[in-house]
Amino acid sequence: MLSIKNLHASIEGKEILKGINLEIKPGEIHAIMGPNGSGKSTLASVLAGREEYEVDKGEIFFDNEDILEKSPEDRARDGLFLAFQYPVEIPGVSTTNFLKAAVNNVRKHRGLEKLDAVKFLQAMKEKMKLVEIDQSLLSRSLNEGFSGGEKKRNEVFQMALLDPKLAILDETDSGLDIDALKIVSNGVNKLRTDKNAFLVITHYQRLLNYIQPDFVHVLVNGQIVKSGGKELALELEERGYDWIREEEAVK
Amino acid sequence: MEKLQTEILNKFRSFEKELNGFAKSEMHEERLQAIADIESNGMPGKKSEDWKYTFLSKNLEKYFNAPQSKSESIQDLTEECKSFSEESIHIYNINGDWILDKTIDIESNIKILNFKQAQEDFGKIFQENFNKISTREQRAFGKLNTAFIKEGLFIYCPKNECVSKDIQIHIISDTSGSLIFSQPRILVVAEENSELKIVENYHQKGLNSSFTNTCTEIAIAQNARLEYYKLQLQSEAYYHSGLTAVTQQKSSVFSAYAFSFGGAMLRNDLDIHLLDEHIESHMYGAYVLNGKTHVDNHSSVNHAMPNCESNELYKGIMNDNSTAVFNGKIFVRKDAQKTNAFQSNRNLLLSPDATVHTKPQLEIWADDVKCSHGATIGQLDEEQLFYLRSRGIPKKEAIALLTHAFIEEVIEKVKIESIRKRLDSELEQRMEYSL
Repeated sequence: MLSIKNLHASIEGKEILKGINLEIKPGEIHAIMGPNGSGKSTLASVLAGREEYEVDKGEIFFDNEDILEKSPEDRARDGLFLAFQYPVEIPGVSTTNFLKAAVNNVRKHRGLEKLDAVKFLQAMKEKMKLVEIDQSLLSRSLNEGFSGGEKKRNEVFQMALLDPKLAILDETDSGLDIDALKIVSNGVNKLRTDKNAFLVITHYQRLLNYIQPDFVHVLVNGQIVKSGGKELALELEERGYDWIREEEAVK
Repeated sequence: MEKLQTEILNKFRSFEKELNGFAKSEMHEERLQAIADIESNGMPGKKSEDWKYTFLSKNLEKYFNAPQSKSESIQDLTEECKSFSEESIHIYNINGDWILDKTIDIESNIKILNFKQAQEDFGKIFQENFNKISTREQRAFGKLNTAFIKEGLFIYCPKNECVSKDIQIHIISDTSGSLIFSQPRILVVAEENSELKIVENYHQKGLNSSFTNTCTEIAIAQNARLEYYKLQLQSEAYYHSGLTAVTQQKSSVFSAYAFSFGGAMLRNDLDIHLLDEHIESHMYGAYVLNGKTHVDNHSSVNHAMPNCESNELYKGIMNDNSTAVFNGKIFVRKDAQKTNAFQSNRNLLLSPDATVHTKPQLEIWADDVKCSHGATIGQLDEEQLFYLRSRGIPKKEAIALLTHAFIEEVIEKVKIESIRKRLDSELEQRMEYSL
């Protein structure tokens, strides 16, 4: 589904990603862990098509299509979803209107008809239960004045509505208390099928107790230096990142 | 400019002859004073500080003496205007002529009259309120309006009368026969504890363009509440200068709303005089411009007495080669202690070729006041834009959503629902093709 080959990316002339290789197949959950500044969020941004980042080398194929030249909106319509680490507040844009615009643009691309007001409301209600989000939040301006947990829940709620093939969760666990973490994880687990995939970016192992990954990759200094199963996450939790850096140095 | 001045003076002489017997009235004294002022000071040139970005006198030259034609489709035009809000009271000025038939169904005690009738029925009240502010202020376009007054619209709201319907004044230029130059004049008097909503709509129909030079005076008595809207929503190229001069008495509340979404060159002057204590004045404005549209909003708030509050918010979005000018003056006189005065002008530039000139001004002579003013010029927030796009919303639609949201802060202040809806739908249509 997603195939990243020798990806190099930079921002303002500074190279952040230095040759990333990653293969994700339908039904899989991959976790990317790594210390601060290792390039985790850059990878998420580059995948979603943020224009400030320059891809200097390498390829990204999504469903066998080269997406490097595609706009963020085209990637989203193709089925790529980024749950933001810091969801943006947009005063004056109502959450409901925003969701309707997003859902209908994605549906149009998939050859589905627009949802009318009634059907849209039904779809919303159904997905609201999934992340236990309150109706009152949706009548407010997008993310404006939402607490950290509410913003993250809103991200997972949007993911549920848009039904992506590949969802990238960029440090969705940061700033969440344990209850919110359970709700968010529970939402992700319910959305999981054998046709979609998840890329979970996190600094801590905690989230992976609730969302069990099939693969864990360690990103250090712009490269994936180690990959393994979910037991790797536990080892990282226990030993930190230094031993991996040392192993790298020995090589 | 001298040519224009000569033309104005010549035209005034022939206008004076047409007046015949009416040339000895009190109103004519006002006309003579106004023309004398134009004769000595001329129309504002490029070097005039208040007009340096908006050189309307140059455009006036083309329209002032252009042959004029009457409209042949009055019925159609009035029907169309009515359709905007069925529930309102509608009044029309077409190519300079007021259409005030007796069939206006007003269901209340307000009086809607032409000046001739108003002078007969309300002689004293009319004289007390007519041409009081615009002569004091040195405003050339207001004086030009005064010099050539032939007829005018007088709206009188008696004491304790609350008019629930809004009064929609449609100023229409039907240019299908020729260029149109018109100078509508309006006087509104709201007596003690009354309530009134006035809406000025500007329309242009036909292939030629037009120039309207409007002067509206509003006198608001003690405890009265008045809302005043100015809607310039058409995209057709037309020119406009409009002076709105307002006097407020004790504990009155005035709210002004100006929306400019199109036109060639538009200038709106809003002067508010707070003449007693405990007065509230609100000024809201929004301009959304594309093409070569040029919109200039000048406002002046004069705090003469203590314990009053004024609050101003103007927001604008400029695309293509458009230009916006904002100049807001707040004067807090020596006696106006405990004044609260706030002013804010915020702008978004969507194109490298768009321009905004903003000048907030505060002059304070009193020492116990709360005043603030500020202006910002910015661009769309890239983070917000990316967030919307990352959800599958195309860039064009994302920009439309964000710009609409920016203006919505002003639109939501509008109290008349039909106007709010019109603004929202105009904005949606405009975004469709302008971005």
